[in-house]
Amino acid sequence: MSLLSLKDQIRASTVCKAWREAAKSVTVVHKYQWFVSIPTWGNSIDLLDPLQGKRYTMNLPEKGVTDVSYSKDGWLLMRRSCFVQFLFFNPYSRELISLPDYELPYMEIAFSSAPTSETCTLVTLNPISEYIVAISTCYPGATEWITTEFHCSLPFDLNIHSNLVCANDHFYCFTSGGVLFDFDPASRTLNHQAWDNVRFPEIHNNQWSYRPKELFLMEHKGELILMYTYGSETPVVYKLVSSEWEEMSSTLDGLTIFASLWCSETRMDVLGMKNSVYFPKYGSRNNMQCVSYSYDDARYYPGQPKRLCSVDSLWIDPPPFLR
Amino acid sequence: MSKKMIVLKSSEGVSFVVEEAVARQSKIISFLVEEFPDRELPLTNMTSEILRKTIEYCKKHVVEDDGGGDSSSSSSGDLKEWDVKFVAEIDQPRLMDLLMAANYLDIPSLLDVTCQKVADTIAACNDEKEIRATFNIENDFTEEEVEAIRMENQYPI
Repeated sequence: MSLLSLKDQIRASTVCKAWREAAKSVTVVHKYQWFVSIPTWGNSIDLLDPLQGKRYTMNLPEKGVTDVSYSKDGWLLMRRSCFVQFLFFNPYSRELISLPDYELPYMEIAFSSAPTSETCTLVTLNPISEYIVAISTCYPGATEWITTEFHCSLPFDLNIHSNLVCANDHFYCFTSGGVLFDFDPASRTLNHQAWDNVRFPEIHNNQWSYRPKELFLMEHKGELILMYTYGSETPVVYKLVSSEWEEMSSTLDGLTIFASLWCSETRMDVLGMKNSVYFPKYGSRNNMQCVSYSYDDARYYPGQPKRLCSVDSLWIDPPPFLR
Repeated sequence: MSKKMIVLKSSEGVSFVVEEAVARQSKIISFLVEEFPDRELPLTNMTSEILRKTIEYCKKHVVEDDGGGDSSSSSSGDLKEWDVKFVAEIDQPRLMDLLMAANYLDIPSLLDVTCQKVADTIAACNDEKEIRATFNIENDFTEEEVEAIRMENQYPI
């Protein structure tokens, strides 16, 4: 069984019960994420298994899909080229779920869980000005998006802010002024709170202001984790513990961060990937690879990168067969 | 110098006289030869045909000690080519028997080539029905199980 390719292993597992058991025994559980590249043209997407370096090309169910905006629980949130239609797509089951038209601009978008789950909520965030933020929500099966504008007493940094992330049924977004925006879809309220120790311009004194700065916000077992990258300096990682941002120890405590500009995931104790941050990078068609930073070795792999993230790639759960 | 010979007996009771060095590629035979020297070794679960094939493989792969250090009877490139031809000439049921023999006698290299051939055969099949037909396997899944597996594995890859 181990001599077979993944495709043939899956096929062999459907022959009979004994073979199914045999296939299970050789399948290595992928606790890590795969990454998916967003099509610039054509109607296929590429999935890459970063540890084994294998690439799988899948056809999309329809033409004219421009990009992938978010990924969670093996589902991708995609957008049709008319720009107002979002749809959910599961590349493994090939299920497709359409959503009502969304005609407003947005800066960040996220969903809470698989669209087949009862609790799935979609949220977009659109800062109209520094002090006015519009938030829209939708659910699979809903007929329209509902939009609410919030006036804030603290500024929303329009240039440097994180992605949206769902944790404990709330949606969060962090901006570089050290402000965390916290939206509760159940009560439709937006709260915000500021911290002085995580105001990012101060951390690096803005020595090289032209270097790209990125904020990544993610969730690990209900706790928020914040990562700040500055050019290709060492990424700085914080954890929100009892309402305080604590810088994580230099080993990341066994955590692996799968970071992308749209959404990031964390995993614990991933063999061969511990204490590291992985960024997906997608160059030309034949150049799909990861950039990673290992806190154990205090260096980047494969070498010092010119840039960390591609805008056209994000992470996805591996196929259900491997989970 | 005469080489030491040993006798292997198939399930049909046919005796094969083999050089010890050839037979010792099987870890099991190697062990038995030391435990029971000068005795005929009965291999009751192996037909003469399969035993003959196994011996043919071992003869080709024997490493001869000619006093001047180890030297294989063939170069490794030639051996690989020979292996491919060797398994290609065997039909499906006999290939499985040979694989089982390699497993039983503990001949790792023969087990590797036969397993690879089986893997290639599986990979060459278009679907699970063809695999079942090729290996003469009965489908023991119920309709519901088939449906569940289908739902789980709709891979367009």
